[in-house]
Amino acid sequence: MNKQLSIRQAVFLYMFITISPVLRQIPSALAREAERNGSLSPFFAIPPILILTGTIILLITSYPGFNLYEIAVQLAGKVFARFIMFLYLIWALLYLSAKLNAYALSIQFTLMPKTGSDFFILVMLVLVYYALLRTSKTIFRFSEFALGPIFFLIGILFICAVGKLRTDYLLPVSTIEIPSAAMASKHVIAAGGNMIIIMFFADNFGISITKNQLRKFWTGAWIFIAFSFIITVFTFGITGAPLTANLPFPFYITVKSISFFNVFERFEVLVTLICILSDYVSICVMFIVVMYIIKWLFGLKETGFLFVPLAAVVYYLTFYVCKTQFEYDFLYNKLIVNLNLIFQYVIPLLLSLFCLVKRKHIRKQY
Amino acid sequence: MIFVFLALLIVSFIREKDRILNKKINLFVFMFLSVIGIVLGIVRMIYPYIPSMASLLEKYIK
Repeated sequence: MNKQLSIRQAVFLYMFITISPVLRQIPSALAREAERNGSLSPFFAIPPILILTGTIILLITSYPGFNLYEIAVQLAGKVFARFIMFLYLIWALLYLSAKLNAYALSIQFTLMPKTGSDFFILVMLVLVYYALLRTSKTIFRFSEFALGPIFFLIGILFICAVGKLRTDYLLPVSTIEIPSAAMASKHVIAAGGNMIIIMFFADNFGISITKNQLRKFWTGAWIFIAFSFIITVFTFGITGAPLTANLPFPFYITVKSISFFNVFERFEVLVTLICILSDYVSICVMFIVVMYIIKWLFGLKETGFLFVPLAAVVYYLTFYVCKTQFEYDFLYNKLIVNLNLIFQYVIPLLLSLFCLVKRKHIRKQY
Repeated sequence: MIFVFLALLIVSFIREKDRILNKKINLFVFMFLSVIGIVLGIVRMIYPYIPSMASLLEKYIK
């Protein structure tokens, strides 16, 4: 059987799309809510992320060759599944619009402050169209290929920064503030929940999934937790929690102060590039997810012709959703994080509970 | 920008007309999304400083 997509590629994609929230949103959100204790928040995110990973594995092994919609149909019927997918459509459109805003605001903050965000959004839409012309596999392959060099680069940055880490910015950790660190972990959980996106593509994995392949999900989850912890420590230890809390892109400012043996410096441009690449893949994937959901809702056979009308809707939605960095921060912290928790954790958990009650192994014919 | 999107929608319709006109539902979804996009664009053209969703929520969520 010719598998269109491997679990390895899907896990690589998951790690790739979580890079930009880890670099951009998580350090400032943790510093704002838990001050220096925020560096402990990734540890509090371990149980929910592992539960989500277990949920995804349970759904994939119970219904091999099925995607999220097909699983929902099997578990709760077509009407309920379509209702759930309609809710996912609203979430995906909001997520997509916010992501486009985040990407445009990042470039404005770091590289081109005088250029309007509409220009960046248009450029991104053209690039997404170009990628989608070459099927979703291109995007999965791209993330598989680019993730290694990006982690290598971040590793080098970390080695260069070790000497600049200030322990007084990280310690002492107050036990009184532990509850606030636990509460702040919702930001890490919301970013880690992107793993549910894999379920939209689960029908491409084929029906024979080995334990070795499933182990990659656990590896991906642990790498995400370790990565978010390292980036938070790195940012807090160099920039300090109070400053991190008030910056829109603290990791960028942190990297500004790093040099490689005083020979190479100004690595911050690379950080912007990494974030743009991660946003690009996220936006491509969310476009595919939106088109999949429309396909399932309306029972379409193909969706390629929907890109231009969808791009028009998403382009204008970005301006209706938020316009400035302050508005984006507010929207992300108050709405998107909470919606992510519902759509990435609550609904899949409910489905997995249905699955445990009504477990059947259905083999899909290819 | 609305005119650019209008032109792109027409070009897209002409290029993909076989697939769009193949089934009524394809035409319906294409037209539905196009109309939503155009309406959003016209509203933005008429009221460029319309408050965003975030600023409206900010008034109610603290």
